[in-house]
Amino acid sequence: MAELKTIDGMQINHDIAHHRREWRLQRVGWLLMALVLAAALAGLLGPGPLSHASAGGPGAPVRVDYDRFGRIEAPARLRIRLAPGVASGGTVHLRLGRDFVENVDIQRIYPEPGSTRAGRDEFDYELRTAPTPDATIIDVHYQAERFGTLPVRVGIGDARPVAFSQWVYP
Amino acid sequence: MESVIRALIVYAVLLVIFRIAGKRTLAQASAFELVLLLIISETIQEALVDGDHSLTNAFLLVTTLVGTTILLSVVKHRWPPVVRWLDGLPLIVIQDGRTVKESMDRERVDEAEILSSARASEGLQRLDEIRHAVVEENGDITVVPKKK
Repeated sequence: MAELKTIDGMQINHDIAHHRREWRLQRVGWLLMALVLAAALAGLLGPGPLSHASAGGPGAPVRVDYDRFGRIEAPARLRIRLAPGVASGGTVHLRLGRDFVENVDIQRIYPEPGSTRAGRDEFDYELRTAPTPDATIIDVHYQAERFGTLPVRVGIGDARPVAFSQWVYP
Repeated sequence: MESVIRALIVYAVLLVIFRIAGKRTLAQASAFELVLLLIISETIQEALVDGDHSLTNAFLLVTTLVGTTILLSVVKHRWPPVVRWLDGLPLIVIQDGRTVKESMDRERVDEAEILSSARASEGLQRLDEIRHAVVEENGDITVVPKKK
């Protein structure tokens, strides 16, 4: 078993050099733990200040607020803002890329879609919106089901879709 | 397959975190440390089970965790140098009546804790009655009294 020494009459596998190595490693470990916590607080390991992002730009007809970093099976949300006039009352067609829909569990969409149509590479949700002079907001609540890069493509009607990707931690 | 990998990752991460925390961090079993251990187990449980409450999953997880422990014990028995990294070594904090300041500071042990162990195990009343005091691998402090 262990390498025993006799120190002042006591048989023991004591090795101060090993302890010094271990203490050094422990300090490195503490530093790493602090860095991980700092990264988590900053939002690099999930939602947080550095994680929040928008795609589509401020003046664009469609803007999507999302988190760059998510976690598997954790609640997440896409907030889609339609510029005034884009949803001119009545019906809006929300188009979500197939890559996205197949890799997440969509919990709910507000406003609730009246119907869904599966296309070749996207899903089309038909939503009803009231006429409003302000931006119309559509929320998609979902949970990622796989870790890794999650490609997201969001389109409204015939407009060019907004595309970006999220990183999902296991 | 996923449950086994999940259990192995949890085992490895916990092993590393507890080794980084140091021997004495959760060794005292004070009321707060007990609560901390309960919270840790509760937190890990969710990630380990991952919504699969089947008997198969439970057996797989337990078998993986116990199996890994058996495997590590065999490895430690065959290759003693591994022991020092997995379990650590005992650390002398009082040697032949003299306190070893460096070891006490680094391992965050003070005289009061040594005296507490000395009272509990040997009925000793003063530091100068202690010949050796050792922080064992599991974080307990053991004491050898001076011969009368």
